[in-house]
Amino acid sequence: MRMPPAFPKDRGSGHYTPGRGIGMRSDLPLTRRGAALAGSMLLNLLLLAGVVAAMRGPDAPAPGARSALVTISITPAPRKTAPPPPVSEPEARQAAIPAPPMPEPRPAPVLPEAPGLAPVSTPPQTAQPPEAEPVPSSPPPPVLLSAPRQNDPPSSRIAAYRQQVWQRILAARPRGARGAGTVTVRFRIGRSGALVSADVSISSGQFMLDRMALQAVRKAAPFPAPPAGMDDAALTFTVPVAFHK
Amino acid sequence: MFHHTRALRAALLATSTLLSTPVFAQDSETPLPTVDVETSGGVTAGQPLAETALSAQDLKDASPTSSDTAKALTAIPGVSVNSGGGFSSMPAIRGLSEQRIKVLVDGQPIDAACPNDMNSPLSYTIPQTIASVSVIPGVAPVSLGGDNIGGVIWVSGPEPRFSTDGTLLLTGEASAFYRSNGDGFGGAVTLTAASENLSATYTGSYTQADNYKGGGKRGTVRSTEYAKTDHALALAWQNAAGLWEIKGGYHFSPYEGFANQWMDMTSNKSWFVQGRYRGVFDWGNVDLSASYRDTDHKMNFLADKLPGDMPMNTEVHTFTSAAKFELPLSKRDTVKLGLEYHHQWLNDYWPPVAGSMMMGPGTFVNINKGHRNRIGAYAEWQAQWSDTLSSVVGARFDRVEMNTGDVQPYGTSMMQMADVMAANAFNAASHGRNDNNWSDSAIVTWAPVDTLKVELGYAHKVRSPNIYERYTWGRGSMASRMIGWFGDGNGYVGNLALKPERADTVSATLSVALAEGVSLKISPYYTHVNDYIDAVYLQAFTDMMGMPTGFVQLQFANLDAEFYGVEVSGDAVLAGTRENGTMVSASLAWVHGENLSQNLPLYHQMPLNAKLGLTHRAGALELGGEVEWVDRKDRVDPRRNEPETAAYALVNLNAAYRLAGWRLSLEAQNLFDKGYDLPLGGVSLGDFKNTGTLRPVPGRGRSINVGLSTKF
Repeated sequence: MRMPPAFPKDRGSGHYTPGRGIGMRSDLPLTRRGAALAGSMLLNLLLLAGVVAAMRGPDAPAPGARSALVTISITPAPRKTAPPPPVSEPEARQAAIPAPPMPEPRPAPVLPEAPGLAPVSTPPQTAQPPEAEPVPSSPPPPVLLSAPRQNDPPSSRIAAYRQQVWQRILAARPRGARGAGTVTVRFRIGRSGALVSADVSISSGQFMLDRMALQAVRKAAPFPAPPAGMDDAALTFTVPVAFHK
Repeated sequence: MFHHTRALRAALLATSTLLSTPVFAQDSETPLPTVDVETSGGVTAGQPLAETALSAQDLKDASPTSSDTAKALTAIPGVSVNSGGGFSSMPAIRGLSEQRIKVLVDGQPIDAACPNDMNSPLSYTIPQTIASVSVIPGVAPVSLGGDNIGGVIWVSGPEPRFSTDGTLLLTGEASAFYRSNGDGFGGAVTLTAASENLSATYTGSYTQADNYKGGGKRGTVRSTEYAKTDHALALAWQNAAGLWEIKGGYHFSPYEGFANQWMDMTSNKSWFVQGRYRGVFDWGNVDLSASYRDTDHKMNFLADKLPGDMPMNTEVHTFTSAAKFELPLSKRDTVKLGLEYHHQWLNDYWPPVAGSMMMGPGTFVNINKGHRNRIGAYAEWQAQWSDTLSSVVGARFDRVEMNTGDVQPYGTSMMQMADVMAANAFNAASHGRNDNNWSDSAIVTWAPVDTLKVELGYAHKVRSPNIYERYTWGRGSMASRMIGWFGDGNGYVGNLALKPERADTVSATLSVALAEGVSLKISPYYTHVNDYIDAVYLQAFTDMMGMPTGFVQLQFANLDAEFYGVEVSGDAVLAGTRENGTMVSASLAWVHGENLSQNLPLYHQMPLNAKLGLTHRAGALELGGEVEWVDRKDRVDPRRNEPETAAYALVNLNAAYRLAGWRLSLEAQNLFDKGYDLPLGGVSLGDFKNTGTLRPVPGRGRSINVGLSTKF
C-alpha cells in the first residue's frame, strides 16, 4: 500500500464552501421521492391501460376467428414446373426429384411412419390396403435415397414422398434465429411439386420466428412432384418448426 | 352427415379462395414431424461459438445478487468488471474495457455522458427486465457493430409477443428482492398486453441501496449507495408488410455514490424514443431503425464526500439510425449489408461555486458543444458450407468526424494559471478530427466429428478516441482529476493528437463433448493493439506543503499493447439431466495485458480466476453452491499507483423453491464474510475523504439475499 497522502491542495476542506450539500438522500424527503416514483408508475400504467383499451376496441378480431394476419398466399409460381407424366409415370417423377440441396454428411433422420407430432390424422391413402393399387410390371428404375420404389405399395410411396418433403424443409431450415418457440406452417403442394400456398397456421406469437419458419418452407420449394396416388386434399401439409435455445 | 361435412368443406374452400385465406378442414392435412432448429450450439454462420449468451432466466436468477447488469455478465468466463457505482460497473472482455466494447441495448448504442463514465450503457438496464445478453469477444462479425476493438455486448429487451389464438394476451412477470448488506431492495415489472397484431409491453423497475459493508473487518465502504428507476413502453404492430416497433423510456437516478471517484452522481435523467421496422421477404430480411436519446447528468458530492460543493453538468443528445439487409443468395450463401449513422452531441460545463477562489467566478467549460458523428457501412458474407462447416467474412468502414468549440477555465487568477494556459493552448489549436477506419473479421466454424467443434477467428478492429479522450484539456490538479473512468484518483488530460486504436486479434474456440452430459470449452486468444489509448505520466500532484499526494497527472496517449490468455469452462451432469438433476460446472480465465511501449503491465487486468459450482435441481427445488477464487494481483501499473490486491476465495450458497407460479430464492453471498479487495475496484476515495487513509475498494461482505418472482 502506498503512503497515505494528505488531501491534495485544492481538495483541502478550507477551499470549499461547506454546507451546500446536495446529497439527495438527506435533503429530499422520502415522501417526495416516493410520490414522484408513484406518479411515474401511475403515468406509465395509465398509458398501458390506454393501449390495452385501444386494442380491445374494434381492432380486436372476433373471438374464435382465425386471423389472416401472417398469412401469405402465393399463386403457384411456375418456377420449376415438371411436365405432367407423359408415358412412363415413375420415370417422369424421378426426373422431377432434384438432387439434395446440400451435402448431408450425417445420416438423415428417417421420418417415422406415424408422425410424431400433431397427429391430426393420417392421410386416407395410408389406411387403404396396398392390394387396392395395381402393381406396375416394368422393372424398378435406379432410385435415389428414399425415393418411392415403383413396386412399393402406395402407402409407402406416399410415406417416402412425405419424407422427401420434410427433408427439403429440414435442409432449408432457418439459421441465425434467436429465441424459442414453435410455429406450425401449413402449405399446399401442386401436382407439379410447386408450392401453391403457405401460411402460418399456429403462430409462436413472435414475428421473426413465424416469418423465418414460413420462409424455410418457401425456400424448400419447389418440391418433387407428388405420387399420382396422393389425392389433392393430402397435398396440404402441416409442419411444426420448433426453435430451441 | 357426411354430405354436410363435404358441403361445409366446399363452402370453406370457396370462402378461403375468395378471401385468399386458405382454410382447410383439419382431417385432410398431411402432418409432418417437427423440424427442430437449434438457435445456439450448432455450427451456424453468424452465430459464432465464441459468443456466450445469458438467458432471461439466468439474469433473473442472478438478480437478487446484484442490480448491475455488467456484474451479472461476470458469470461468463473472460468477462470482468471495473467497479464504478452500484449499478454502473464497466465490463471488460479479455482485458479490454468498456470504452473499447460496443454495448448495444435493443440494437442501439448509448454514449457515455460523463467524464467519469458514471452512466455507462449498461447502467440503463436492469437484469430483471432483460430478455437476453450476448457477449461476443474481439473477433465479433463486423455486422454487429463498428468502432470497437474489444467485442460486442448485445442486450435485448423482450421481443414483442403477440396473441396466438385471437384472444387478448395478458402476460407478465414481477419480481422483488432484498439484500441484507446495504439494505438493498427493489423490484421490477414486465407487463405485456397483445392482440394478434398489436402488442404493448411495459417494463419498469426501481432499486436502491445504502453503502455496503466490506468483508471481514473492512467496515462500511463509503460512497456506494444508489437509487434508480427505469421505465419503458414498447409498442409493436405486425402486419403482412412486417413488424413495426416503437419504444420509449425514461431513466432517473437521484443519486449514485462512486467509491473510487472524487465525484458522485447526484442526478442522471435520460429519455429515449426509438423506432424499428423488420421485414422478412423472399429476397431477404430488412431491419431499419432510428433512435434518439437525451441525457442530463449532474455530479457533485453525496453525504460521504461532504463538505464541499462542485456542480458538474453534462448534457448529451444522440441520434442513431441504421439500415440492415440480409440477402440470401443461395442456400449456402447469405450477404449482410448495412449502413449506420450515429450522432453524439455533448456539452460539459461546471458552474461556478459562490465564494470559491478556485471554482469561480465564471463557468468552467470542459467540453463546449462537442460532437462525434460516425457513418459506417459493412458487407459480410456468411456461408453455410454444410451442417458441419460455416464461415463468416466481412469488412466495414467507419468514418468518425469530431469537433468541439473553444473552452474556458473558471477564472484567470494566479491559482488557476495551469488551466488558463491550457485553455489558451487548446483554443489556439484546431479541434476538427476525422478518422477513416477499416475493420474486418473472419470466422470459420467446423465440426469434424459430432463431439467436437472448432472455431478460428481473426479480426482487425479500429476504434476512434471518444470526446473526453480527445477534447479534455484542464491541466490544473483539480480539473484533470475530474476526468477519467479508471477509479485511480489520478488526473487525466485529453490529447488532440490521439490516433484511433487498431487491434488485431486471433482466437480459437474448441468445444468438446467428452461424454454424454460432459462438455468442455477452451478459448485461447491473442490481441495486439497498435496505438492503444493508454496514458503517459505528466507530473505528480503535491499537497500545500509540497509533499507528494500519491496521485499523479497523466495524459491520454497512444501506446502499443498486447493481450493474451485463455478461458476454460466445462460442466458435467452427475445425476439426472441438466434441467432436473445434479450438475457440476467449472470455469477459469486468465489474461495477460502488457504495455509494449514501456514494458509495463497494463492497468486493471483481472488476475487468474476460477469458479467451481454445484447445482442440484429436483422438481421445484433448486440448490446451489459456488466457490469463486481470484488470485493475487501483483502485475500492476506503477505509473498510476495501482494497488496490489491479495488472493481470495468466496463461498456463495443459494436455494430456490417454485410453488404455484412463484419462485422464492434465498442466498448467502460471501457466506464466510471474507474480507477482500476488488482487483479492478480502484482506490476508495469516499473513504479517503473521511479518514485520510487510502485503501483499495473492498469487496462486499456477507449478504443474505431474498428474491421473490412470479410469471403470469
